[in-house]
Amino acid sequence: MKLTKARALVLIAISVPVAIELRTVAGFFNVELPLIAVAVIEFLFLALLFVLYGLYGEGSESAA
Amino acid sequence: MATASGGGSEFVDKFPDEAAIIKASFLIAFVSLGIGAFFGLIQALHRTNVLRVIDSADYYTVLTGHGVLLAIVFTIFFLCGVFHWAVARSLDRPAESALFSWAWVGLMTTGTVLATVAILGGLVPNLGMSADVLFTFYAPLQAHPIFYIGLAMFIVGTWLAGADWFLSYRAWRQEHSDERIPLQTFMVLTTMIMWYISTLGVAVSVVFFLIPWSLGLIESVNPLLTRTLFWYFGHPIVYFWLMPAYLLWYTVLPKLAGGRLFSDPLARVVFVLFLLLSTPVGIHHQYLDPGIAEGFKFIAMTNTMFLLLPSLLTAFTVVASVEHGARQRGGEGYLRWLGALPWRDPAFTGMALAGAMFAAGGFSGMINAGMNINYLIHNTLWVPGHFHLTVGTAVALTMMAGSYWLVPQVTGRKLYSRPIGLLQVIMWFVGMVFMSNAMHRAGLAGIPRRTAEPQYQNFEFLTPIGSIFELRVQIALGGTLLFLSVVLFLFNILLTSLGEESDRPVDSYLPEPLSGPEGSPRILDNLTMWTGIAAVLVVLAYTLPLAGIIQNGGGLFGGGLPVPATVSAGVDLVLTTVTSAFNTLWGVVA
Amino acid sequence: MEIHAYEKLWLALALVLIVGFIGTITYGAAGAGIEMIDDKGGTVDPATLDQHPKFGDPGIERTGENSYDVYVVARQFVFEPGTTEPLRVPAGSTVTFHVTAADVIHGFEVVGTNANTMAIPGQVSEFTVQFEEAGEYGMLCNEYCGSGHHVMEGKIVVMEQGEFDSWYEQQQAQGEAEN
Repeated sequence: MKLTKARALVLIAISVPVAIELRTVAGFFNVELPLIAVAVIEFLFLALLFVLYGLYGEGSESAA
Repeated sequence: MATASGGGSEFVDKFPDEAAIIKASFLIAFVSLGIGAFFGLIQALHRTNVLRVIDSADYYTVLTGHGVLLAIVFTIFFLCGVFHWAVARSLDRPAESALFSWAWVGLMTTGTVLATVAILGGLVPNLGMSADVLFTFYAPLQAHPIFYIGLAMFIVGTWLAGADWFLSYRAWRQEHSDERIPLQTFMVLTTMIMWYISTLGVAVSVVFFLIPWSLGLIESVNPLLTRTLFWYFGHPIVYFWLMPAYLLWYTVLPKLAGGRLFSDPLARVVFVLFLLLSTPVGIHHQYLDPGIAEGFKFIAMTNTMFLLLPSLLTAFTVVASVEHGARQRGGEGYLRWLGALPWRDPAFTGMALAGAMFAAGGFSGMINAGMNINYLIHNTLWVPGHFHLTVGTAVALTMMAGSYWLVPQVTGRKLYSRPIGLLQVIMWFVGMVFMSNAMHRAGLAGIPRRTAEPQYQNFEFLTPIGSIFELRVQIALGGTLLFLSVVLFLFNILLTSLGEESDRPVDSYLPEPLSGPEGSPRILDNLTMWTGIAAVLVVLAYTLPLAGIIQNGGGLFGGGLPVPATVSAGVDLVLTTVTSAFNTLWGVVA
Repeated sequence: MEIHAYEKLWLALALVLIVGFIGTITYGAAGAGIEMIDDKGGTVDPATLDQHPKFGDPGIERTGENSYDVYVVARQFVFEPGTTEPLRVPAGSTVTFHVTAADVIHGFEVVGTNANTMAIPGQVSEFTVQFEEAGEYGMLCNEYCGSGHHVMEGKIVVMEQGEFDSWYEQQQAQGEAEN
């Protein structure tokens, strides 16, 4: 499955509520995750996505 | 169920009169959607204290508009469009009388305009006309008479629409005496029978009590009685919203996924179950009400739990059909087939996301149905959190997604932009995740629904995790995304209808199901019998509670106040007849 | 009629789930003793509430060693008692609420708890609550009742038994002096 631009955009969109709700999940284990931590996690995810898009996205050499 | 030849003439060419009716219905539906969504944005920003552009007293006017325009006008006009399409298509014949069809469209529209004028009048100071009573219009809060008259006209219009489709069926039956009812028509007919049974309650309440009371012909009404009659109708209306969405999930979504419906007979079973069980459960909205004995609440609870069954069956069939489609498209493996689905098609993706979200809504609904758990969340923001997942997404998003496939067929024009459509449905999903999730959590903290300023002096709301502030932000953000999503949808549909005509605007071919109706028991098609059973269940669930409310709650009109002598003779006769009928029944049963 | 094996399994599981839910709710209602609000609160005439022996002067009454009756009238846009002065109850007591409305339908919610009911003109909601520790609770109206619905709130103060007793005696004395 290629990581097309559309698929990447959808992943970005879905990741935002997931990242924010990580605070709720952490709360169940009595861990208070500050907003800045969420922002950092989201930023890291976006960076990962960027790298993956570069490696496997359309227009790259290894795309099918 | 398949069209005569795949591709070739579209619905708008084969059934031009019906297409015109459907376009008119959709137009009114979408205009209401736009206004209702705008009001929703105002509410989301107001109650979270993010941006207040109106008076808090006007919030309730806006909220009434939001509820009525979205939950009554948008959903039901869209249903009328879809059902008119489904009947013409599946019976392969036009409506019996185009004039009659326009009559019900006209009646429903007139009713809508009257009710909307009454509601919006609340925003105009010194007009003396308002309907700040919300979607549920509980007495003794009173609206201007034209609000109730408009609603009554709207409901009668829907009855006529049902008659239109029954007449088509009857004519078709004369030429096809031995055949099974085509699936889409079966769904339309069972839904409308359910509707006729369920609107009886609210019609009695509005016509015999609320209209005369708002006109000053009677002095008071029994608030618990009118409230109970409303909820007699108020639960089945959610199935009136859901069943057109189910019609699309069962008959269109499999095709969009590239496959075929898994099982026709089980679809029929599901619709029969809704016909039987939708109405005798209304008391589950009144678990906390005084004046209704616990036994009746228990019966409503068990009926409600069984009402989970048709939805759970739908989950199986829809997912199986979609999986079938994925494998037709080359998908393999236990889960990898999900990737083979046409996610770029906004009609498919919208319906798939709507279905997924419906599962979450079903779970929060199960909580609501729990007689004693309900105490924790009744009338809190949890409840809107729940119904924005069900009517707000399962129904509204499916209707928007379905429009991307249907509007091209009734206009003969290609969808203006698939990418914008895809963006729209995803934005709706993300917005709803934020808003609904935050609403559920806020409700658990005790924050009330239907309140302009849920910021109180005497106490703080406490959440176990996170803060009230972030819940408010999520509601405001989610609401904004939802509004933007509606703007994109309306923009797309508008430009579609203004576009160039096309010979083949969309692939409208619907394949036969994998399991057809041939193998299923003929009794499924015995609509008369199912109607009879449904009526018996309603009588069992409601006669005693209603009799108790009338007997012990101060009579038909409450307040212990006598019916004034100015009531006209005709009304008097009806009142006497109805009262003595109830008293007789009570005497026989007690 | 051909039903796929997986579908039969799904149907069976769905029925087990449904029966399971009904079972747990029934246990909650019959076993764990969470009583539903029903019709035992009786009815009143909303037009003459002021002359009602209990609702005419709403408040708290002692009915036993640790049990009390509280009569609450909800009207646009206050709770009587609760809004102008807080409703006081002692810690460790069992309180039976009798709630009605004077004008339109209101809601009565003790925030953060499952003490929640509809206040309907002509009807009385009766439910029993156990207050264990001292503290404060908010009350709010959760059923739309008009343009001032959002200001309709109150407070419940759960006092230590000793403090409550002296406050209660004071109230009784004042009541007698007025009569």
